[in-house]
Amino acid sequence: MNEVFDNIFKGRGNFYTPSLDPGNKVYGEELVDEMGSELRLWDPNRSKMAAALKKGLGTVPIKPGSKVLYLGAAQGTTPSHVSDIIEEHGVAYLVEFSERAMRDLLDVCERRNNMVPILGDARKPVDYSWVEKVDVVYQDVAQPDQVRILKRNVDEFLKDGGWIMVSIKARAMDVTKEPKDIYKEVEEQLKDDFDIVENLVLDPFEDDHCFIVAQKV
Amino acid sequence: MSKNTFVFVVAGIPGVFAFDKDKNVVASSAFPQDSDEIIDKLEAIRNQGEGKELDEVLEELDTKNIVTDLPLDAEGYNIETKERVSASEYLDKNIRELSKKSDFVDDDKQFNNILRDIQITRTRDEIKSSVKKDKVVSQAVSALQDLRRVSNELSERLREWYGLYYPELKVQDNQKYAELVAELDSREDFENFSGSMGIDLDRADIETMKGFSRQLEGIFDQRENIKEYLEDAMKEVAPNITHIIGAEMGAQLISLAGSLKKLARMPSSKIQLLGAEKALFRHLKGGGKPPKYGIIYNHPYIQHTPEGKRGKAARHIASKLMMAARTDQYTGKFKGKKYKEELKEELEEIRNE
Repeated sequence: MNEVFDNIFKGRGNFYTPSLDPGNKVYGEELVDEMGSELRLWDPNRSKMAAALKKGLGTVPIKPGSKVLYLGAAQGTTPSHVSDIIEEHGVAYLVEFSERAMRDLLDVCERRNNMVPILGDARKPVDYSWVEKVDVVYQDVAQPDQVRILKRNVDEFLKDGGWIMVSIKARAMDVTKEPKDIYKEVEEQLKDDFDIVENLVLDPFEDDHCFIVAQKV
Repeated sequence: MSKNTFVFVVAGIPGVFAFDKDKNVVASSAFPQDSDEIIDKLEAIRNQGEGKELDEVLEELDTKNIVTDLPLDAEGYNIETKERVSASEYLDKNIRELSKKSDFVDDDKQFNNILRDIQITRTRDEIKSSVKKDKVVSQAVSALQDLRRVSNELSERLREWYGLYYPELKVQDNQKYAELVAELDSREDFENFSGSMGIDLDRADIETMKGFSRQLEGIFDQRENIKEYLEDAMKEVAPNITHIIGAEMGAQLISLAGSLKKLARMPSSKIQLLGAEKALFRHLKGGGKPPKYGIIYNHPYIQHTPEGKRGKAARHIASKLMMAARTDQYTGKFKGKKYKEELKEELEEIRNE
């Protein structure tokens, strides 16, 4: 097992994070013991960030101590791994709109002191304007206007030189267009404000998805 | 007293703060490290302008001029109250540093912990107060559809099964069929029995089929129960929609939209196509005709309209449903009768065109 990024381990082609809540699973993931500490398997079929790692992601701006604004936290699958990476002195602000998903997410937050839940609409950052400036904005919202949503949150919350990590679902943007045209369009929309460092296609783990990592200029 | 000696007094998660006009902390009083207590104290301070920490900060001040966004009313002070003061924003944006400096917490870990606890409590309260009865109705109508599907499948199975034994039994109604099988001990007990070409079966074979039928009867009963429940519940949740299109279809529309609130925010063109998403996307992707109607297709209003005019009828129904949904969500008044009469007239005209 090798630590390929801070708190991200790789073994036999799979990725793992050191559990902040040993002995407990968040979504049925496998737990393995590595030199006395517990690692959680990061399932690329359940988490787009794990899929991106599988596809060769070379830049991970989320580090121990990072402050992360996470838009579209859903049931907390990926956020739980983010929580592992940032450790207890980092913090993840988790915005989720669906009450159904939030109920499950709260159970995960109960067990991890760096996960701060926010029931709200990522379109309206003013509803959670009390959130501090963050190092990374992570977005997985699958909405046709997701780039606009992202920019609003970046303007409000991202530090200068901070990073974005964005999952784009082509079918949610426009079903009539070819996914690769949509990926290009998104890049086009982002490139004035960001240096795009990575843009990976996530198949076969997710159909018609890409994953972008970029730095605010 | 001159204005240049005023202070801002504001409150946040770590406690109450007084800032000078350059945003230096001139006084502060930290809350205890307990999320529930913090929520209660903040509420009292923000709504009533009352709290021990607030008094402590006021005592520490060496000026009587205060600018604040709290409903403060203290004798002997010159207080200017605003909707929101810049110092509140400053507190929000620097909350972690100020929490550490004001001895509210020792480190980031402690701060995260408290912030998390507060947000969990707040979020739970928000969810509790927003789960309305429309969610219950959505689940009930989905359960009804599940039961209908299951009862049809099981009825088919029973007919195949019992048909081996008594193929001559001709009863159209599934529920009636199940009742008869459950009740009678053998095919000879049926009215008008006059021999059968079915195979002969043992007691044990027949008892097993009877047991199966009894369960099926229970499912039919449950279907009726939920249907009755829906009628009552929908009159409470969405009386206008229910009056126009019936309890079950109304509940289905709410379920497809996600909530009554979401339905009320939809344009009528979207209501018209609720339940036809598959056909809509097929069309948008470039294969197939655009759909004219979603679940409202199944309503007698549409079924009684000649085929070439159904699209137009669907538009009218959807537009009335939109008005009904908005009335249900935002006013709570009953205008269903009027809507229904108008709609009937419109549809009559369409048919006669």
